[in-house]
Amino acid sequence: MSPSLVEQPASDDKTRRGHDEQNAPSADVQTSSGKQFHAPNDSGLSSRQRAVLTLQRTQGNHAVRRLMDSGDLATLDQSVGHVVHQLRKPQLGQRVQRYTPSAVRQNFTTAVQAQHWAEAFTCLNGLNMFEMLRALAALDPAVLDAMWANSAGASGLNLPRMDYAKNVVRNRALPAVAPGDLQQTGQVTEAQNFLSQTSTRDVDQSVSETISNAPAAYAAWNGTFGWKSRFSLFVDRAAHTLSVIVRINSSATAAQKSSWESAIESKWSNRFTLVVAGAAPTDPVERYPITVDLQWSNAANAHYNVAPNNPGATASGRAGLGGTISMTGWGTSDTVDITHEFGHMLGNPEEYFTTNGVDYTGGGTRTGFRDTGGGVMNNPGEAPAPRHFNLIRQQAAATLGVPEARCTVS
Amino acid sequence: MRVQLTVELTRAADDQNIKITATIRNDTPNTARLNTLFLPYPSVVLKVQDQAGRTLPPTPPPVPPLDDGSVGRIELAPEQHIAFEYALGALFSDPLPPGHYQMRFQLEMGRSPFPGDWEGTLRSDWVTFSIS
Repeated sequence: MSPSLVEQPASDDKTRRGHDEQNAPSADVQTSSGKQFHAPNDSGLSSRQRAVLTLQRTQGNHAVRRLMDSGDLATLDQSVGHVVHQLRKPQLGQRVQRYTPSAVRQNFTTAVQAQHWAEAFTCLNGLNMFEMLRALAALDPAVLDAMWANSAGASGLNLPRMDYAKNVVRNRALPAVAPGDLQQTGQVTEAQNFLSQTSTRDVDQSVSETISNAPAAYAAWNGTFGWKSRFSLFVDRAAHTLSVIVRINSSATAAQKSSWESAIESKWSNRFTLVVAGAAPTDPVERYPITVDLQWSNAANAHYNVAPNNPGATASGRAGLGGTISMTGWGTSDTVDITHEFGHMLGNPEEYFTTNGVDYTGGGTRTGFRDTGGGVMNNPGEAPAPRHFNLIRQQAAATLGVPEARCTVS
Repeated sequence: MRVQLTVELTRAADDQNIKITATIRNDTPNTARLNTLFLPYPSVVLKVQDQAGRTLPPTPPPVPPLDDGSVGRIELAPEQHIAFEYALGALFSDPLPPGHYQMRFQLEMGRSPFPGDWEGTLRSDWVTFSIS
């Protein structure tokens, strides 16, 4: 009777690889969604590699791709190696599917946000190296430090393996020594792949705008303004993701931060995709869904310091509608205008009155601000448009090493 | 209507620590109806110059609020005042480099579309401060 390998979402690579090796030469693989495949005896391959190859041979690449897209493959062993690698490569004329984090990685993120460190370590321990590296790379450096300061919660887990992954992410280099069997089990290779397939870029760009032709009642808005657009980009060529990370330090309450974060991310994140055309018309198109991640950080690591403004805080009892008074002064009663201020952080100028010579009144046919259809930089109640990701597009092109002309946002 | 600007620290290690207060006093013999709608916005009402007299561009202003002619209006009796507080750190995305600076409050409040609003210019004297 062939042994059955049931997916173990919370088991680590080492454990699962050991299981594989013990149960060679043949295996059935059952995924969490109930799919079951028989793996024949192919010498030199692990049982999971054989299972995936069988699926590929019997049902074709599309079946494996569907499995991969469903997330099941993410929790299978990373040793499927070149099969997955080939499937992740964009095929001619095909759209590259987005990497979907496994449930264990999502639980890890939730545990980190709640500062439930023991649970976070348990989840992290259960990730394969591919996901472990990406889960750690998505954390604010200060949060990573805080988690490791509580590594007592990792008691009984494979902390040396997690240490290794953390050091890869933190130092962007392979540690001199790989603990345990990380080398033999391909996890060092996975770390090498991570370093070659991912890039980070810190953006620090001066932005200027000149507002003119404001109506008489708003004449005080006429003038020249300037600021620095600061954020970090994380591009993952393997998972085909583009993360825009803005780290903010604020003395606001946790509930207030959560409210702001939810408003901003729901408006700016997962709305558009960076589309990278090939060098030749017949080359495959790559697509990177754009994720915007507001991370609460400390002053040392933050891109911005944001002061919470209570609408009743000033002596006058007024600090702007909802309390928002500037790009870095956010109202404690506001979840709308702050999404416009966040747009400035991403490098966008105003789109009202006349800004930088562009008339947003439609020749006087519109109010010129807070107009229906004006977009978030004119009317904070509205959504962003592809043009509002222009600086991100430019910086992503530079990060990917492709001409800007080949990159569009749609 | 008269406005006076005060700076809490005239020498500070960085501009995050500098608090500014604008006190607007009705020095007319009559009660005045003041539109305070724009007064909380530092980028709109505060002007900062460096030692060479160059105006330093502040961070972008908020989207202008819609004005219905009633929100933000207060009545100031003769000699009554109202004060607004600002943090200089909210004006610039980078700390100001060490040096001497001057700042004033300035807001044109003319040609109001709403009858009864006080019209004129609120402008303080220049106030100097240093970043060391």
